[in-house]
Amino acid sequence: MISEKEINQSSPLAADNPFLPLTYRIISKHRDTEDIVTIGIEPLQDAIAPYKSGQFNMLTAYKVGEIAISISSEPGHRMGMIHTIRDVGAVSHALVSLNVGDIIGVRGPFGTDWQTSEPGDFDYVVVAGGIGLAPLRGAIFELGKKLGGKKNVNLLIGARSPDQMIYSSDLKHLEALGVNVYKTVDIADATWKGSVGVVTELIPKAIFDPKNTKVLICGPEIMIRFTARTLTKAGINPQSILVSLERNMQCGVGLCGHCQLGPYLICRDGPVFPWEPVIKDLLSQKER
Amino acid sequence: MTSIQEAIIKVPMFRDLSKEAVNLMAECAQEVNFEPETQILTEGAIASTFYIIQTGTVSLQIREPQAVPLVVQTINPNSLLGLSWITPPYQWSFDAFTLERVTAIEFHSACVREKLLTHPEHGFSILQSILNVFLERLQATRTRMLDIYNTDRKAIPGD
Repeated sequence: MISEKEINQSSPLAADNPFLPLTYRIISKHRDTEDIVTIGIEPLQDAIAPYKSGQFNMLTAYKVGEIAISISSEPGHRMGMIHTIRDVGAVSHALVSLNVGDIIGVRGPFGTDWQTSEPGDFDYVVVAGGIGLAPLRGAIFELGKKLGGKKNVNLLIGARSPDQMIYSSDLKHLEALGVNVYKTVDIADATWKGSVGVVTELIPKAIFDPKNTKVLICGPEIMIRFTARTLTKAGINPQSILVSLERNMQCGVGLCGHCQLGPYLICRDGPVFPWEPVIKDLLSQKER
Repeated sequence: MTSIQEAIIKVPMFRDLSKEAVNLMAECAQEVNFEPETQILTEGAIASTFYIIQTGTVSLQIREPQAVPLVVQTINPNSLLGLSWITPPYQWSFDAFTLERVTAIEFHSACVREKLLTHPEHGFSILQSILNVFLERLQATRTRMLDIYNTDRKAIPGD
């Protein structure tokens, strides 16, 4: 593993140059599931600029590579910044294999956000599928703290199975903030006393005024499509629906083009987009 | 409107039924309660009743001799519990257990079938509504079969 000495972190350009990673130390590590790990990090010297819920960072596993990972902590949280990583490739494997005290590189924050820093006077329906809860975690805490008990804030979570559900320990905190939390899984045995079925089956349980509701969705794109369609049928304006998308982000600043979706570059124009007018159609077309 | 008629039109699929159709169904119904962990349906048993769940949740399960039963689906309030009463051999395919205290409207299957046959002008619309329940569950089942939370799926070749 790379040492602090090996890392040239004294460059005065680092904080201003979007291509130079800043060095951060891992201060906490939690295994959410067999292949998903959440790490907490703090800067060794310079910190990245303040971030908003829904944005992402490029994380560097030194000597291995760099990947885009959503920021999962609430903006301004005193316990540092957290990222939740699924072990799917060389870089993510290197990142989840690191331990408390190890050093990583961080570039960011990049992209658009959930617009929850000023949530307005709306009800909210937040729908997360699988690890799609990670980019929503900061937003749902913001909504709980700002609107909990005053407006209806609903969190609907779908997962493959009970053991694949992340942030289980956060859900009680969110309920205490006044968030209505509903969970469902695709596969379970009778020891699971919760709901079994697709996440859209939770929508009738959520309490909201369709004419005054904003929606945030993140998860597999098939789930995004079905959920947006069902919520639109329930009377929600499709332009009040925001979705977060994922592609192969590499530069983070809209230069390399790896994350193109139709006319958009996800890293620059997203990852958070309004469902209508454009994303709705793009998600049902084969990419060229 | 009686509480039974109100319960029927609370089911999204039955919302557009005519008053006459709702009355026909209500004539075959009564209100019932179940304590938590009560078995309502038993695999293989005659489907002599079916239910609209009003409050509480019911777990539809399939059992194996040497394993914990698997949950097929949970049935939420304002949903229909039991579909096998419509066509022969009128036998349940799964077990159903309450997860908490449940209030429901219980329908007598033979009575409803008789109404559908003898009042075809309303029977067809009732069957269409029930067909919508089948369709919704079929689509949900297909979506679950896609295993969309599985991250091992392949990208488009060439990407």
